[in-house]
Amino acid sequence: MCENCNHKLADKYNPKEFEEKLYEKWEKSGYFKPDEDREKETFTIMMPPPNVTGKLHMGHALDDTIQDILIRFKRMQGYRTLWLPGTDHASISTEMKVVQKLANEGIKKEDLGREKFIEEAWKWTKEYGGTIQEQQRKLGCSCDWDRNRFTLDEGMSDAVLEQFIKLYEKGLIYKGKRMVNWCTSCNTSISDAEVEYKEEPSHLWHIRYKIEGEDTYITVATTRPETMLGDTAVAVHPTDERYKNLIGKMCILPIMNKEIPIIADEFVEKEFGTGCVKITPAHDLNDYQAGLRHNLEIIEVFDENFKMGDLVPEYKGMDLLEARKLIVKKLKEIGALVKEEEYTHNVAKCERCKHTIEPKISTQWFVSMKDLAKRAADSVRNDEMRFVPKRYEKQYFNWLDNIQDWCISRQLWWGHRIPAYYCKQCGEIHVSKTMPSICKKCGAKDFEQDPDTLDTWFSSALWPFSTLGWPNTENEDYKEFYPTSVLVTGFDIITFWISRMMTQGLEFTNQVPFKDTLIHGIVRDAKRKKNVKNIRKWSRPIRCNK
Amino acid sequence: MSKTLGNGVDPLDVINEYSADALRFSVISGTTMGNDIRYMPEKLEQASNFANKLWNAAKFITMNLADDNKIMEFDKIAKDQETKQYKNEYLRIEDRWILNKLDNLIKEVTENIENYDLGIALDKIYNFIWNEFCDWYIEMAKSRLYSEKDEEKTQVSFVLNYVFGDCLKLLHPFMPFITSEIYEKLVNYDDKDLMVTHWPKIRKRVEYNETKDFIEEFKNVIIEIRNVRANMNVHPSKKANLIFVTNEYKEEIKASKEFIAKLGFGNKIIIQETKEGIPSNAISILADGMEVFMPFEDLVNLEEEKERLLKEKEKLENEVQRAEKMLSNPGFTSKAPEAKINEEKEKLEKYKEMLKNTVERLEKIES
Repeated sequence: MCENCNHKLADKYNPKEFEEKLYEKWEKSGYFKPDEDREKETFTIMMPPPNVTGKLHMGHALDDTIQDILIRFKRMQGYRTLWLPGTDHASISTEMKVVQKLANEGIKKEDLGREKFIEEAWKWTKEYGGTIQEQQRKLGCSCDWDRNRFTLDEGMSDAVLEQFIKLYEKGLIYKGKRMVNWCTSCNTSISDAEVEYKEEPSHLWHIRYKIEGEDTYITVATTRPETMLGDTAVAVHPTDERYKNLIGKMCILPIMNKEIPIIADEFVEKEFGTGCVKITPAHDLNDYQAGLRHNLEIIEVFDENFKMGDLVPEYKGMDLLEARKLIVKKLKEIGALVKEEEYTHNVAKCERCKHTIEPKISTQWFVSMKDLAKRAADSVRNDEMRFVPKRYEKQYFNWLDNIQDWCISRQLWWGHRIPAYYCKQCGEIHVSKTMPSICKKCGAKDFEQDPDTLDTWFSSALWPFSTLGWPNTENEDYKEFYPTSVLVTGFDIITFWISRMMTQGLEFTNQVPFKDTLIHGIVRDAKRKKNVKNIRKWSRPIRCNK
Repeated sequence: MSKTLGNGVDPLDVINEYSADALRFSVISGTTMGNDIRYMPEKLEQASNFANKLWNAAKFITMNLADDNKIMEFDKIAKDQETKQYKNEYLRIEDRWILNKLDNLIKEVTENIENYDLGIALDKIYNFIWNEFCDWYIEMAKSRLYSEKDEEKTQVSFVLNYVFGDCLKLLHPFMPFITSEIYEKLVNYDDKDLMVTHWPKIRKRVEYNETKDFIEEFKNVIIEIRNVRANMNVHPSKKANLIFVTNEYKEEIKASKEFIAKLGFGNKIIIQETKEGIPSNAISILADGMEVFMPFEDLVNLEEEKERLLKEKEKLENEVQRAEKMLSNPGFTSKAPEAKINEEKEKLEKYKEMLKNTVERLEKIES
């Protein structure tokens, strides 16, 4: 009942007259905070943190509206509700923008140096950050802004260090050589989630390799003749009648004039090209895995800048496409090129800069996922965590049941730097929160920190509890509000985010981080099929952390 | 409609042009969790219309409501302190009908939200507010609200305020701004802002017999009266006597005469137990437990209607002839696409049916 306004509503519905005013009133009245009454049951939602410099799109509007509905409902039902907001530092996305900004001023990231660059990135974050939270206020989000978190703030960073060190000490984090997606323009490894595929017209080249000791040939089909210099086998399908008698024989790799084996592997598609493929373990993920299975040598054709390496001196330093032309010409000259046909294929591109992704073997940090993944899958199988709608658990199981180790290092500067210190004397690795004072192996005192930063998802995997003060498990908020009640997000990050929150949550807190996972669809244009360009813009799924 | 809404909608544009509430409504209404949402600008128009409807209802209610303390006092005496249920004798049947509907709505919506069926919950609230509450109950409430009798006004004010207040509570999570703005102007019992007040409890507020549901039957009758009048082109100013033949609902109809007359374009409301004295050409509407008659002369001027029907008959006869001729022409039936032929056949059936009706009505008038 309002005594001052005398029961009078404005003549016309004019939301501009009251929406903002009401929001201010709610916030000032402390309505967004959890009720003081500790006896009440809690209901908690962690807002999937959007990119700090991002802007609200329709996907966010949907995501935030759903969460606000649930929180307002539970608040009115008398629960002690907490909806905790926050933003993500979005390492690669922010770093790219700062690099671009510097480039416009004629400055290179490397020339500026790490420290100055990070200062620039903070400046950028402060200047462009926060817009999205203003927009969430306009939407009416009743989250507790006093508990707002940022993935790079002190407490969150501390949680990340704790996580890294604990996993390392348990033997779950290791350094290894793996094939990663490498963006040749951003110069960093990127996650599968950041790869998109684009159809490009190209060619399929049919190249014949002479069978050793015979006058016959085997013909492979490839879209990348320039990598043939690093071939270490030719593969056929084990049941392919055409090639059965060749399995186990050797053939001669043209140009390089060396013997490589003919192997049988089920990954080969009989219907593709000639049914024979060349195996270049250094430059293709399938080939890499086949190489591991057959114990093949890995020969890198490119140098670290993705120019031609020195396998053949005349190509050294060349651009890949330039070398491709010359190699095709050469194959023609020596009679090894059997056929050249038009071919359209999907090329992996960097979601951010649109440059081509190259598979690359490099030394990276990994999290060993097998056991973590099993536990995360089991907890959904045991109904400790429930997907709504249930059908989305399939995607989750698929990912976890076929899990690969998680590459967590990124060759970036903006983010959580890996807490590994190398002794300058003997190279011994020390993993600790701060730089060690003395090498435990040789006693030297000079160290160098690993230059890489962690995958953005590494910190967001902790989001449901790092936001509540973890690793301090005595923190009041952690004790009161963890585990959270429901996670609301789009289906596109079931694998990259939800599965990781589950594995990390179970590992570090021994509980599922949320009891329900509510999956919503993507907001699409009414005419979704007609206008592809718009659809892309429109239907950009919620990628909250990226 | 903003130009920006064609391609790639920016939610901030929507908020500026419509409202945050409309944006929220448009992404939730009609959606199912987990499925992609085809975002259509029409949804914003719908949201906007709904907000306006809500606003106008609120204005109407708050402008006409009885004094706060009278409403609160009524609540105290009408409520059984033990069961917290409102006693039958303090409420009219339409009051108990809407309160009972509200009970059901609260239960369903609460369960829907708990099961994350937010689109379903919102659409139920929307339908209740728009149809049951605004289009039916408020109309039924008007005569008491304007009444000189203090107790009638207080009684209906109490129900309007109560039901509308709970509607705003249910709608608040979905459209927090407009609901809060309106709620402040209603009479509320706990003096809390809507956002932190209590969600309506699932319980029985009134006794209401859903198996012998007079109001639902009555609604059907009214809809049918409106259909008949629309089909006969009867001007709204032309009122007809409404003769209710019933044993079951005598009391209810007697008590509801005022709004029955208003909603049913009625002149006099006559209640009787048999069909005695009803002219044979009166139009009858049958519902469960009652039959309603409207004397034909009340609806139409016989001479004018006869003339109109004769013209109509002639027109329809021509149409039937045309279609029959066409369908018996082998030049047409052998050459025209099947869809076209079927279309003609359907037209013929339709005209024949209309002609039959017209002839029947003419016969009625002439009798």
